[in-house]
Amino acid sequence: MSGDGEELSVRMARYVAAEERSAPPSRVDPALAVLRGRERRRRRVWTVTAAAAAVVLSAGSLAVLRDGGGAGPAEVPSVLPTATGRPGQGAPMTGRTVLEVPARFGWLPESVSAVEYRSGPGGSDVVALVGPASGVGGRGGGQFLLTAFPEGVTPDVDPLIGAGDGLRIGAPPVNGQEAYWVSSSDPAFAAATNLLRFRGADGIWYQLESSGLSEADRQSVPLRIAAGVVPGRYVPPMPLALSSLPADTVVTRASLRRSVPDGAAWRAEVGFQQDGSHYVTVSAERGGGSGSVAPVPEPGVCASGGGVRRCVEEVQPGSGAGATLPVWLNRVVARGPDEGAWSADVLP
Amino acid sequence: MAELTRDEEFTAFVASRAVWLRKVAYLLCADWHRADDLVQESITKLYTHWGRAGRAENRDGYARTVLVNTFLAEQRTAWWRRTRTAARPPEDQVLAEPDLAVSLDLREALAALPPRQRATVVLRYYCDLSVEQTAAELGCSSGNVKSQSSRALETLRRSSALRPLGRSGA
Repeated sequence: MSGDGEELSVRMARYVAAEERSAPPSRVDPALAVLRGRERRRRRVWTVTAAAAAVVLSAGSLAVLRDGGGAGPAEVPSVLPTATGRPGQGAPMTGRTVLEVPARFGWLPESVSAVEYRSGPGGSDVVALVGPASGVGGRGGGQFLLTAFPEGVTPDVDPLIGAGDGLRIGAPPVNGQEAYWVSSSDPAFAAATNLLRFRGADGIWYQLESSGLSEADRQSVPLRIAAGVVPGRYVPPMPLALSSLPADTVVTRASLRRSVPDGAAWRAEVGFQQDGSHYVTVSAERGGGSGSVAPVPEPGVCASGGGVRRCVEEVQPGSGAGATLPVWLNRVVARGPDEGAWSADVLP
Repeated sequence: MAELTRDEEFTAFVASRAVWLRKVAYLLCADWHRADDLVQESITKLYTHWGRAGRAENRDGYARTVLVNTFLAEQRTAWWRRTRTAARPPEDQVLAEPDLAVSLDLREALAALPPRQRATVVLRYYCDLSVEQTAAELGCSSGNVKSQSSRALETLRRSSALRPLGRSGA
């Protein structure tokens, strides 16, 4: 490298250093990557299983979606909608709340054992978890992931999906509103993915991604779940709060998981980034440890009382007296197991 | 226990590289919020392939490759290009740097480059990779990197970002 190349190197380094001084706090959260990464690995197992089934049933999985599913496969529109988007992206939250989702589930199949509301760098969503009825920890049997596109955005279908062309396949209307399946000419992808988009009564487009369904349920269950979705932003009451927050601390994510149908088991988490590099996750869950879905985090600390276990964990030790785990734990206020005492206001 | 060890190793690695990855992402997209999204998505992918990353000779390079590929894949969907105007600085941004003009010129010039040329420039001249290393990270030939670099530098020379400089080769 010489001449312009060397000068460009110097200028880029100075440029990014100058820009960094006025940059907003980072919302990158390694702990969230672990959570989402685990989900993807679980879903990959489903994908591999379904793809194998697709090879065996080489008759073509698109026919599965077409049978009784609507108008049959349609070509990708030659003229894309004027506005496109992807689900789950929202504006940063302000005020004392940390968790807001675009909609709520209504009807869910009996196999669902928990519902989780989540927000983070990628936006917010609601996921219904299928699995053994083991409280908030029931996992491993598939899931229903509900996201929303930004208001005013009509989503298009990506031209390339999997190893084939993206396809928009007509679906029966959901509550009288337009709906379609997103699929691919790649049979393996089509067999493994179950993506329904539908317009809500509020005009917003929603997306329901289902996994773990039998072939018999692949259309009927998502359509019924979609019909029961309650559109509109929802700020769930949280069972924990923070009594104080140190300076230079930002919220990176939040979640609340509750068992279905009674909601008796629950777990709330809020992720923070302190001083740009100290990642802390505070949590509260029902119970004092017995039957707890999560082991004592390592490295982390927990305290139990009043029927609630509070925990704090970190990625790396922070610097300064205000960054230690015991200090963080003291900031976490549990609101008790009585839902009536919960509040959407979490931050001080 | 193995899972905990794996997760601890991953989170420690990411925590120590998040600032660096964010800078690289910012150079690619010129928007800090989108840079956060890119890094978050990239480290999530990194987690799902952590076993493979662990076997890589250069784990930093592996993470950077995931980031660049995530950026390029998003560009292909065309969504960001339609909804974000990252080439323009926020109106209320106040920088007292003496080289403010140079920074703004460079920001606009980089944003004007096609995504693959921008990625090539960032890898070659910010990350200080050789032609061969850049080719390996982008999954293309050395000749392709040379031509992309050459075109990018020519564009930057024509812009005010590099105009004051001489015209020595890449």
